[in-house]
Amino acid sequence: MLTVNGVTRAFGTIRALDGVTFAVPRGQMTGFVGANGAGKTTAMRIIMRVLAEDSGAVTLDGAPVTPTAARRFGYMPEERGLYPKMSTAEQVAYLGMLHGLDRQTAEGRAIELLRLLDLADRAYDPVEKLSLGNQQRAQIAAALVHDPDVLILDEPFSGLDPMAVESVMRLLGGFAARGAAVLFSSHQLDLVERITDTLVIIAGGRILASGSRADLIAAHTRPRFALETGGDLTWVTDREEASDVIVGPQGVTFHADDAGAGRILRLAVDRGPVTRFGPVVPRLAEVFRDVVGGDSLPPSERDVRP
Amino acid sequence: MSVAEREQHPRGRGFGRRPRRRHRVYSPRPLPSGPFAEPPALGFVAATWLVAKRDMIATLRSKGFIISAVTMLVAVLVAFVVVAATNGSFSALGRIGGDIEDDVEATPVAVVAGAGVMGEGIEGIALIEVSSEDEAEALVRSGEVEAAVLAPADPGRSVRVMGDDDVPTDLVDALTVTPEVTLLNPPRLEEMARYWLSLVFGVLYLMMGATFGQMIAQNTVIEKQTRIVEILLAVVPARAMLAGKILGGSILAVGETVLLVAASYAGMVANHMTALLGLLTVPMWWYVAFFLVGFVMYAAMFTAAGAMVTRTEDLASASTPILLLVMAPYILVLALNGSPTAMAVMSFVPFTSPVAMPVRLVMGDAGVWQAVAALALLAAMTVLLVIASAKIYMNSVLQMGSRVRLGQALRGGTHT
Repeated sequence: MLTVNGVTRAFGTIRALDGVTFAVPRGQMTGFVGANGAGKTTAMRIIMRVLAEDSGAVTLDGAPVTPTAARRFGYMPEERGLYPKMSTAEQVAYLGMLHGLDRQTAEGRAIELLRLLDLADRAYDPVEKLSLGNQQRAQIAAALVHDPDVLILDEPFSGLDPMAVESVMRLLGGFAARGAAVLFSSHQLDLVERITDTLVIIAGGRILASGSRADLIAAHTRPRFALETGGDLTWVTDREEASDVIVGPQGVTFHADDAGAGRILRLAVDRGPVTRFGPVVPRLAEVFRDVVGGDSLPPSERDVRP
Repeated sequence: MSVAEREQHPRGRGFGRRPRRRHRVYSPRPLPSGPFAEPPALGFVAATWLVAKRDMIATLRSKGFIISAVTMLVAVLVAFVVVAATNGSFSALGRIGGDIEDDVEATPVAVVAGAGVMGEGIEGIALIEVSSEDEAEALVRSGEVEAAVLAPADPGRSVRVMGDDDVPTDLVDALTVTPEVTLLNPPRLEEMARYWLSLVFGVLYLMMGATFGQMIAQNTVIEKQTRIVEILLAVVPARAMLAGKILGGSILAVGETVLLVAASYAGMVANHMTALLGLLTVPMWWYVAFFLVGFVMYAAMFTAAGAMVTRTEDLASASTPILLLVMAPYILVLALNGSPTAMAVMSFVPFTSPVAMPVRLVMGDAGVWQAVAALALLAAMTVLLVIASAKIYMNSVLQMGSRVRLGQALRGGTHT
């Protein structure tokens, strides 16, 4: 397990991280979410030891992470970078060799990773000739070539098409399944929701919530129900069992306890046929909104869908 | 056909066919499965060498480098062709290479017996004794001899010379009696030589230092600009990165210098400039030794300059002070090579010694111990500047954005 313990870091007068504490368990994918400028990148750079913390500590399986230990990690920085004139396979292999792999192993793994990322046909092209999405895949291959057991990936999915997202997810999932600790940041909350087991939410340099996805959702959302009938449902707004009622074109969603929800269902059945009734599976965006405050989210993430 | 080979040409058919690039095809290896293995260890030296090798390969593949390297080699060779063609009149080099025709076959000249001259042989001239003027004329006409020396028309006058279609200058010169001349203010014969040597060593130093120094700085900024430096520094220690950059650049710069020196050597051998060779051979290798140490110093400074900026556009302003230091020996030595005091001082000052000391060695103004002392001084300065550059590099290379100020880079403390 990788743990970040009370890490604080200031740039001049700005506190980028303020007592940041969270854990990245092995064998899981941990999603790191937060608005722009929340401190995700700074935290990741400190974990990688390319930046020093002012106070606090980073440990892996109980031992402090030294720069030498961090060299073993797989790292994808926020600012992507590869040599523009070097061929993709060549520089993935070069990074593998810098990690101590012998030449044949480094080259063999480089080409295999590029194949798994559907980039084999461009493997010998210089990076500057690749599209941004393909450069992104090359960057992922560069982070994985030395078979790291800790992955620190800053926005690995940004700019990828859905097929590429799938292949990257499969690849990272494989690392997690073998016992790697995988920390990745993303703004794509629906994606994070789909593939993570653990979540860390950061805002303004502080960790607002962290833990298993199920626990977070339970803690930060209230049970909601969706009800659809053929007729008008505005009457639900007036019931005291239901609160926070949202009337949509299809029907309504509302917050209520189980007993209250049952009473409303009975009332609806009395008024006519009910086409749909059930609990609304809460979405991560709601958790995020609850934790961070809706203002820091882009409008598209604020939609509450029944 | 392996998998990799098949995948290599997916657009091999139809239009849009691209010219095949020459590259080595990697044979794929399955990714590891099961538990993660202990990390393999890569030592400092191995990491440094990997970085140096990558930089060298990248440079050797760049068109700009190939063009400039070939141009310089050709320039040296052309210079020797010019020297050879104009040898007689080429003042300085001609003079110190005066016996340029030492090994050239001696000009055959017929001498009529009893001409009464030249009992001793003359350098560069092979005498063939003949019995009559007619015999001499026949030999000249047939081209067997260049010229013939005939007895004086009247006793008391000088000998006569017979040539075929042009005046046999060598012979006439050899027969001319030069009166003894005493000059009250004799010109220093080596003055021109000194000038030319300063020029050649200075230009070579300037070009190598500027070209390869800028190249190293450029490579450093590109790593910073593309942000790959962040990945690299997460893998290898900053010291290994810096050492690798200095090593790679120095190997190339010294390699090309050795190549140019070797070309000059070959040029002198081909032109039979034995005297010049005797004078220059040892100082030339001294020059290489000074350049080796001096370039490491510049390479470190250029790397530090590259690490202080984030965009290639800003590099010029950051590297100008170092460029001035590279130019200093060229300008100062060229301007002051007439003053023995100035030359003596410059031959010990670390920034000018790589040019000034070899010039003094050629002229015989400095002995081996002085060269060794100057080299030691230069090495000490290099060590100091490499330490300072390492500090600047480590403190600046991860600082993106505006140019890092020198004081801040030296004090630093943002990086572990």
